Amino acid sequence: MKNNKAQIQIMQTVVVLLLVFVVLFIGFIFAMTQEKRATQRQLQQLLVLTEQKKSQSINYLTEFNCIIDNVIIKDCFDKLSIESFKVRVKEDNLYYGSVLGTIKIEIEENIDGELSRNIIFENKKEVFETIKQYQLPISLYDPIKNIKNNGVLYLEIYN
Amino acid sequence: MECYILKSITRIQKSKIPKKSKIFGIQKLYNNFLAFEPRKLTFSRKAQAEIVGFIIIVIIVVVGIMFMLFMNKDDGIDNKSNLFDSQLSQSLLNVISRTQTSCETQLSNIIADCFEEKNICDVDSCELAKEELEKVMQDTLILWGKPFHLFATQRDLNKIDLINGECDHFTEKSSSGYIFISSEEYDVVLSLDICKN
Repeated sequence: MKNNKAQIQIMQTVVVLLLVFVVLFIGFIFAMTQEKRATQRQLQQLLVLTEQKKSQSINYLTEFNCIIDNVIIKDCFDKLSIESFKVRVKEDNLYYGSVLGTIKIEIEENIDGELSRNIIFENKKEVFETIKQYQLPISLYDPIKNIKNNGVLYLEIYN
Repeated sequence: MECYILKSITRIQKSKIPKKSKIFGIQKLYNNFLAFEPRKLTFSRKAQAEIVGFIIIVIIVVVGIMFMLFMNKDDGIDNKSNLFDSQLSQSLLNVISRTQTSCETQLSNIIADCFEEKNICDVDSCELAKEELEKVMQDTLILWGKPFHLFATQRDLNKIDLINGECDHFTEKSSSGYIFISSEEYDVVLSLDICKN
């Protein structure tokens, strides 16, 4: 009888220990999942910030900006400056590659209802995991004709 | 309560009940009753305590699982779209204000004239402003499938109101922007709300 009772008690202890380990294991898995999620979120935030930085730097690049009467106009690109930038990029792709990173900058212009696209910079990564596409409305200023057309700045960021 | 029961049982045992009953069934019951030991009730207390402990463990486990389920829920914050949309509405308003129309004047001037009830190019300025705004929106937010609410107000007067998709004052916004257009009397406020899809 005493043997049986002892066996039962041992079994009880074993079950309790087993339960404790199971609970600890579940807790560990939960903690690891939370940690992984937090890291992923931080990574995503960092990525978004980097992309935002890139888009901001492009928006404020003096190579593109419209300057009228010595005033820089926001969200406005000068068409002549863009053409000159394209020539400069061909000569020195390395510098702009390091400043802008792996990115494709495209401008769509609306001229009297007709849309035309123009690639102004392309530094494509051969192997990439994701492409993020963003679009930003801009004005395109023609200093010769002194007119502003509507356009869209398309960014493709390779990661 | 248990104490009261125990006391009454012992009182009954001590009372003058005949030790053996002549009827068999009752006698067995009576013998069992005599063999009853109040001290054995401690075992039932232990069982109760174990049940209570078990229930507490179950409650803790359930609470833990609920906590895990709630924590695993995605917060649903899309930082990317928030950051870019906030820039988008203001940039678009800047572009709108500079847009040159077929009447050789900027769209912002036409919007201001709309509140002064003037005609431009022999056309009602409000109608012309709406037409030009629709053109700009067609190439941008409508093309990108973003619901928006664009409206121009001067004090409490609202003369231009464009809505695409489900987007009104009560819908959740991803971003809002506004610009002031100077007018003869009061400034006109052109506002753009981009709503969440």
